Amino acid sequence: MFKILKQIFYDHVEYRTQILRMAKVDKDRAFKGSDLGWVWALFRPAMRIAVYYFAMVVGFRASRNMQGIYCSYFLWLVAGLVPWFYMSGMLTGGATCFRRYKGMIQRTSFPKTTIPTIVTLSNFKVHIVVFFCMLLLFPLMGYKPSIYWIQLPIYMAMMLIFTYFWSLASGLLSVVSEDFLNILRTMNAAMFWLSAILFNKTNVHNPLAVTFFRLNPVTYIVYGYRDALCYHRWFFEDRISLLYFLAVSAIMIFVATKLYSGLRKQLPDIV
Amino acid sequence: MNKPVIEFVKVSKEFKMFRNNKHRMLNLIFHVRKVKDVRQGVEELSFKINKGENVAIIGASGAGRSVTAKLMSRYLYPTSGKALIRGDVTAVLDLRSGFVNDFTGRYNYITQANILGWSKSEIAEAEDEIIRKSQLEDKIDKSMKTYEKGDAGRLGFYIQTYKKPDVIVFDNPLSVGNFKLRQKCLDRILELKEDPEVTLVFSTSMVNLARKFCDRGLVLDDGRLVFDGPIDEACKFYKQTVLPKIMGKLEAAAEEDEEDPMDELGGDSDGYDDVL
Repeated sequence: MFKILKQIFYDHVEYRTQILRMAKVDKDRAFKGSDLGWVWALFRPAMRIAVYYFAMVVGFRASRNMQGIYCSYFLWLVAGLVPWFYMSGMLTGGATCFRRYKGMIQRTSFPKTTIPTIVTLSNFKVHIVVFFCMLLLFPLMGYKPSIYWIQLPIYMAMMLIFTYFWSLASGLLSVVSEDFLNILRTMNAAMFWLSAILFNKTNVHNPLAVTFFRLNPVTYIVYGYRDALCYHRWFFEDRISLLYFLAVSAIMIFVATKLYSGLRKQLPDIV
Repeated sequence: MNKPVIEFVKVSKEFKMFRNNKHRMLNLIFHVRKVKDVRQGVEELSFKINKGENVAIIGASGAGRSVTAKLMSRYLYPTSGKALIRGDVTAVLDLRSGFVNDFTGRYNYITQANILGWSKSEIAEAEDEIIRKSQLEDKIDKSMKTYEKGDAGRLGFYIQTYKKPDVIVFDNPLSVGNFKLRQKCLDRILELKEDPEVTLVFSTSMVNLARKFCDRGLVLDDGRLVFDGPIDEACKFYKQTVLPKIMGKLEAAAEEDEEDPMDELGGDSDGYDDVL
């Protein structure tokens, strides 16, 4: 495991320029052919936020059960949806990374450990743009920036590391089995509702659901953003959730490195 | 004494076939489930190539040439044995590899050069020369979708062969593109051949090309190395021993086929005499 982690580290240091360029190519490719280009990167999440807000406020009247937040329900919703958009894109997008870069795996000696990073950074670029727009909304709606915002990069780093290893593991598994990819596509919608993004997790008291929220890394990141932006809590205050997240991440890293160690030599043959 | 730049020690490469994806997954992860079939790419290859040598890998289609070229380029890993490569390797296996048709030639050039590890200044320095040599001055800022056949291949060829690496591996580089592209590729390969610092490996089924560029020949048949020696003797061996065997097989398999098998297998009528 440590040998693979060392290799991943060295590959990233050595190919850092190429990785950044390929991430740019990946993103440019996504917007190629569209006249509006980057506008879609903002318009799509804005539209989804508007729909969810309408459904939750008008339909379910969810904004009535919010306690302890230092902002409006709308901003609380945005603070959860923005990391979710990134993570949901990575749940399936990361899993297809090796398939998308089949040519690069079979016809170049580019290190395979960097391919999940290309996809991760490509998606992260969009996330950063949407993220800063979200930050702008706070002062625009009358809420001053707080000291708690400084922990947002920590959550971002945790999110990036987790999504990298997720892409490495799921990307390898989906190369071997198309069914795995179909399972992930099905799970994506389920994960949205099971991650307490639209409703407040503190209002749920079912012990099974509480344990699931703790085990779910998406919930941890979403509520990490909310802790910093809406609840004004430090990341070390909820130690149990942090420990759960670190444990799940450690398992993910172990699984990803184990899979990579077993499959790396066969990857060009089977992709 | 200098160590060989390429050293193969009993290198074998096999490709496992499975009944279905479930069996593949169980085999790859837990090493259970029997393999349905094994396709042997190459078997127990052992040879050494020293710095500055020009070596041809000669063999018919399916003999294991491309697999050997990919093993030398570190694109594939051996199933068993050791493939030791010392120094930088540039592999010219697919001239259009890495190009995205939606982007312009210039964008693709920068991306490709970046993947090859060139610095920003190197990319800027080589840009004009590569575009000029590829004869794409008028098209370089247009989408690759609008390129004619051979344009992208020419650009790819000049990007991949611009720098002189320790080892350069060609796999059928003249099997694509038009007459002009082939002529230009030949000139560039001849330039690389003359450089004593560059080790040239040329994988081909065409004995005339092998003679033109190389001094030594490795003949492959059914994934095995059947001859290793001076190029003239290697070509003679291929023509007299390997080709008749393959032709016999082909004739038995498809007697009604009207095409001359020599076209496929690279006899004298290989269609490149005009270029040479």
